[in-house]
Amino acid sequence: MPTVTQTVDISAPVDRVYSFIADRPEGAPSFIPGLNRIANVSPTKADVGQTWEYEFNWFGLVISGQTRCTALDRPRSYQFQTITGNRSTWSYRFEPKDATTRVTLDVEYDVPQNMLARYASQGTLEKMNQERAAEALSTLKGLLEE
Amino acid sequence: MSVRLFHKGARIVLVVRRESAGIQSWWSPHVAPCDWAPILGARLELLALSPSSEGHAALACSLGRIEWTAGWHWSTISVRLERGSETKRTLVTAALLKAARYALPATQAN
Repeated sequence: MPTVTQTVDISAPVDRVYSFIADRPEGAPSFIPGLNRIANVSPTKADVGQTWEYEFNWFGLVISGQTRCTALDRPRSYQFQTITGNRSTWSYRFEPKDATTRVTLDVEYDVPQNMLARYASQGTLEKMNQERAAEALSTLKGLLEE
Repeated sequence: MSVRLFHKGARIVLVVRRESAGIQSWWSPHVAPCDWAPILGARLELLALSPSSEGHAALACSLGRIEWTAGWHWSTISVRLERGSETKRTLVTAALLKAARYALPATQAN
């Protein structure tokens, strides 16, 4: 499966950054491009096994499915997987550095064959996904810093 | 899994005026009155911007104010985020616009 990896340093305490991402999955559409809706988060408290529904605009197609939190080690790491829809695993790592937090995002994903045909090459799609991941972390930084 | 061309229940929200970072006017047609307070308030709360209601058609937050008309067939929404960095105002405005277009009302979201 292709993987994209991006890192950003955010001038905010690690607890705040971690909480923003892990404690309220409903907030993810604010910083993930193409992710337009999250609903039915259950249970409300972040933990392994927490699930939610998502709707993602993947370069012109609306893909919906369900997601499940698969690992949570506060405030060091957080991982979830899309368990229906387009399969992907999102892993966040958090490293406090002085007054900042280094966030690393790895996304491992399946490529839908119909999208592969549309964009001609897997390389093109991977570049687009790298750019989306970079935009997500850049937006996250902008929203969390004062 | 479901693959579609459109989001179910999405609202049409058009940006009709951009004055500067965080200052925009939107227009949204609809077939019944739309309660923008829970839709926009929930997103402001997720962004930790301390939203508070100001009457029946406005919200204040730590960056500024959002107000709207509550018509039957359309709404006009005025976003005026005048505090904070230009980057933050731009990103918060984009997050609010996404919520206005796609967020489900609270009763449907959970």
